[in-house]
Amino acid sequence: MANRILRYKLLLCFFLMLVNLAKASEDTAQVMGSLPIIESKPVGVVLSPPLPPAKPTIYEDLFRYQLVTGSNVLPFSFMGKMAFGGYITPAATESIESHLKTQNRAGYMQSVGLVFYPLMHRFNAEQYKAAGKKAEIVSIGIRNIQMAGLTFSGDAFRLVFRGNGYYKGKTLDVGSNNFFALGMNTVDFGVSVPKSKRIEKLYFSIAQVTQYNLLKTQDMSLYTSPIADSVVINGRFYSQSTAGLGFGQKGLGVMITMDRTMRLSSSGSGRLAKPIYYGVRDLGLLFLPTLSVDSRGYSWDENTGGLKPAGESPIKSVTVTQAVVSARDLQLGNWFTTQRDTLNSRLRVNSQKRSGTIISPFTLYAQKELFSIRPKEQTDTKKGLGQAFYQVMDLNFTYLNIPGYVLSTTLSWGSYYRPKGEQKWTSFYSEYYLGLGGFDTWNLGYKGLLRSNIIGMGQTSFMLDLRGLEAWLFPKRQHGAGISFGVRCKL
Amino acid sequence: MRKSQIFTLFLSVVLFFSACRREVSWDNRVAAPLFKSTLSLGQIDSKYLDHTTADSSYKLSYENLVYTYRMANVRAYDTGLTASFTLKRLKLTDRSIVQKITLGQINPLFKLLDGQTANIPEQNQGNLTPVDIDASAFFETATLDSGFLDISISNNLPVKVKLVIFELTNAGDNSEVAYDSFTNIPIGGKVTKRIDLKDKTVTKTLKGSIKQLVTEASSGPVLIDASKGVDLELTVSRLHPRYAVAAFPTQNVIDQNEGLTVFMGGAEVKYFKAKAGNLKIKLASTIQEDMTMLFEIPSATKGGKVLSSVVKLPAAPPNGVSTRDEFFDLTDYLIDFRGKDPDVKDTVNTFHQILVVRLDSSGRKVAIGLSDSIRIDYRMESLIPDYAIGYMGQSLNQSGDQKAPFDLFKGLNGDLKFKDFKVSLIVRNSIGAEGRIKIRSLAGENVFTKNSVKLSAMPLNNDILISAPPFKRDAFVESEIVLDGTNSNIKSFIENLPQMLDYNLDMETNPNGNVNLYKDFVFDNSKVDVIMKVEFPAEFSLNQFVLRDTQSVDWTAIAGLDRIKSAKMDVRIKNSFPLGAKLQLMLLDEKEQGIASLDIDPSNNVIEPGVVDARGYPIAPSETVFSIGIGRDKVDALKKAKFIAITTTLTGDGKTQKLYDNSSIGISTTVDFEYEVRYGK
Repeated sequence: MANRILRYKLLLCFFLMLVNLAKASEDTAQVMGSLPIIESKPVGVVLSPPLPPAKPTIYEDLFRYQLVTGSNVLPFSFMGKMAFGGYITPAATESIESHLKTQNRAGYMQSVGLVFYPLMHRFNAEQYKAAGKKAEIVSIGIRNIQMAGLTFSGDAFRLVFRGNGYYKGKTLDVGSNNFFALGMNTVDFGVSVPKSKRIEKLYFSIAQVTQYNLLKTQDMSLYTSPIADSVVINGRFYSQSTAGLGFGQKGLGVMITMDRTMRLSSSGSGRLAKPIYYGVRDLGLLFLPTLSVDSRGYSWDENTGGLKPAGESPIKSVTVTQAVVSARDLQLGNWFTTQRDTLNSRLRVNSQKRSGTIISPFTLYAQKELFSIRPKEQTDTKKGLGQAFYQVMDLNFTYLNIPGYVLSTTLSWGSYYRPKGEQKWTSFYSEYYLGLGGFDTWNLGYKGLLRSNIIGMGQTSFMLDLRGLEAWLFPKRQHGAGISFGVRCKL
Repeated sequence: MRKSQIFTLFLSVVLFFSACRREVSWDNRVAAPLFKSTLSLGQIDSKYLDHTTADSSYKLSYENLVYTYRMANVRAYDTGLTASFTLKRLKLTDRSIVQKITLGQINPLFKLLDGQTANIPEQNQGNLTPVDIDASAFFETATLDSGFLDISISNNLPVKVKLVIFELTNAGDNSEVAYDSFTNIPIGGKVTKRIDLKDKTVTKTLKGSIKQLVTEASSGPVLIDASKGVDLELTVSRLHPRYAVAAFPTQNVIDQNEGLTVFMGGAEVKYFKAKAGNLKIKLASTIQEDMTMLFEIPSATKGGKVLSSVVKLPAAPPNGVSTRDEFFDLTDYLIDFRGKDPDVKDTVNTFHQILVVRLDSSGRKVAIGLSDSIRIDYRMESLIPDYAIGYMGQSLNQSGDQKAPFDLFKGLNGDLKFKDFKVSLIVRNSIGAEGRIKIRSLAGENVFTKNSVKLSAMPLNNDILISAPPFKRDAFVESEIVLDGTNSNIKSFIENLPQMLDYNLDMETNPNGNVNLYKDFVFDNSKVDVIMKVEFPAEFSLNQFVLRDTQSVDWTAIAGLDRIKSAKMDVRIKNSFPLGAKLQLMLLDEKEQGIASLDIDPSNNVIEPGVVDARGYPIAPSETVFSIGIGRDKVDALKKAKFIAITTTLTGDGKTQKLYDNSSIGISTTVDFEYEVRYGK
């Protein structure tokens, strides 16, 4: 019976993976990696004179870098440039065009963080136990986050990345599109909650917005006549941006990150089942005091607060034809600006300044170990990696609420190793995984975690995660790749 | 330490990622409509091109200015006067004071007999007690250049005064002011003596002494009144001090009423209306009294009002100078330059002006010396006529060898034959004086072929006489000399298609002198223009004819020009003119040097001529499509270009063509350009 239940659970998991076939997964290592390991018992040391109560010793990422890119149509070579900058050639955009679907999506997220408090190892004292019962700030770090996500139509890609010059005599049904970009600097306060049995760790973050862009279109279209002597534009849109604002004027926010565990009792056995790790990252509110808002076809509340349109206003298509000029106007050359000004006024783009609050892009995750294996017989080797002493299969679901991201499912197989013979490392974790969803459709990945004792740093872990191996190998054909690396040590 | 070193390294990485602004770019190709226009000859000013109603063909009329003469000598040169005033013109008020010398003062004995009736014996008294005389009413002190002191003695004694010797001295230093004798003053009588005060210094405190007084005995008993005696009256008059501390009375220190002559550069002007000009008056005074200047030019009127003004100059501080500047705008004033009183003497270049400067007495005693003065500068400046009437004088202006552009054929070169044309040399005169022009030489130069054709014309062998127009602004008279094949080589002159005219001529005004009797006139815009006028019907034959034009370009209206990678303008031409054309476009830098040519595709492109009927009347336009492009390799040249040189080669069939009013060229353009989009910064 237990085995049957287990089989049903496995089938359910595979079913979920099939349902999310076109989706990518977020970095599962983020889930694992940021879980702190808090020593709950001090080492028995008696000092004279006795030291004051000390904060608990924790293991946490001293430094971490993470990049995730993905799309269901745009190759990694393209998305990489969107993330890092660079020039995208006309040949590249042309090759993408043949793969476009009716609805497409893409996105990337880059995060780099550093903990700067505490840097020095905390001294464990006898009084820790008393001190350890209080909730207190145990770490302070900083992060820089850049993210962008978009859903777009094929014709929107053609218009933006190719231009209407290639589509004379045709209508580009740009349709409905959604583009979102956000950049933030955060200060993260890690709080230990020793009294809680469920909450592993809690973070409070103060965020400073460095960039915010939003563009939404609805029913947009652009027709270019065969000889380009007229252009017809229609549709609604609105855009919001912090461009042009000074540093510190773009917005502030607060966010919370919480990791929890849940243990369900195994049916029939009376024993506790493997725990389920779940949580939320960066859930909060961002206040944007001054946004430049341009819109067409939408009405807004008269007060300048609020970032959602109040409703739609009637619109008509706008036809732009050649300016009719006299010989003198032609010579003067001012017909160009007149034509441009006429177009702007006919489009009736409404420009205004608004302020408002948005929910920060947050991540929800849940992870559970499906099963594990401890090989009974260990091969004897003098040196080297040896045989894994523990292997585990995990299932992870992650969702990030920005356009272009769908629920990701990741199935991973990890192996733990101890060194054989004299090695400079103390343990090694190796994991392969298959992900579906996220920004991407699917990807293969590999993660390694090497732990070693480093003089001056103590027990230190070095982590490297390569997501989308197929895209790293074939960046022009495959889409969705990422990389993460970090250093974890005792703070 | 090691951990913190690693921390510092990672912190640098974090700051790098947070500070770095990554920009992504890609190319976008945009196609958009530009402009369309219809060019026809009807858009040209009908002054230059008019169509005939008979067959709707065109006739072209073109005037080219060759030479202009303006009268430079009619202007009022800056002129003015300076007047200064010194103490010599000052005077003090005539005043009188009376001092009494009583019988009691003559002989104290009479005080005892006061009120009694008695015989008064003959008296002979000497060196009576001097009497203080307060002359502060005259001045504090004065050293006089001239003046008089009248001493009057009135006899109020009951006896006859046989002799009075009187002395007047300054109380301070006992210097003598006056010394004189008076004889035989009857009872109740009065005798006056005048003392000359020239070079005398008089102070405010004087002493009057009767040196000797001789009276006759009374004829019988008389009432003795010790309070009566002789009255001494001192009167000063016509005082002109060299230095004085006194209360000066209100008086005019400058009083001018005269004509002022202005140099007009040789012209003799009767009337002058100012278009611009000003009058500046500068007053400077060391006098410690307020001054008032009344200034008037009765000759200058505006709207019926005479130019006049009253200017106040405050008193100067001790040892200081008081100044005042006044400015009068003479614009629109009509100035009569016929003199102060033209009914008496009618002259030229002279206007009537009145200047009065008055010292306003404050009653305060102030010090004035020989070093004190009032200086007045007044100047008429920058006087430019709206018009002037008079005799403008004789002048001879020799131009020497000069060049004038002939814009009719500017930028044109080629084989063009006109069927018919008419050329005139027109002298258009708006100066109100007679004149004459002698054309010494006139040649036309084609700058492309370097060919020069000298005009040989019989009518130009004689002087061209010029008469005066009526007195009205912008009115002119024209003298026209028609040049045709019978009296000149004008055909070869014109068919050389000159772009420059080389000329040498003399312009003379009033060659016969003042025959208009001062009725010449000139307005500010009066001139003599020598114009070459060409008229011809728009009917000609040509094989190939080149038009060149250079247009300035300003790309500043196009934002993001630096991101354009290539551009192409598609041009559609609908041509109903009976001529074809070929275009060449060259980009020029700020020095009009060639940078790069624009690519025209097809490269051998020709704008086809319109379809015409047998008589050349347009019946259907031809359509030509070509593109003007600039590739990626030439975009930099586009950004640097300040001008575009357009060379249009018109092609004909050599047959005579006529241009009709329904011929036109329709231009329709669209643009297709590659543009680099940048996002992220």
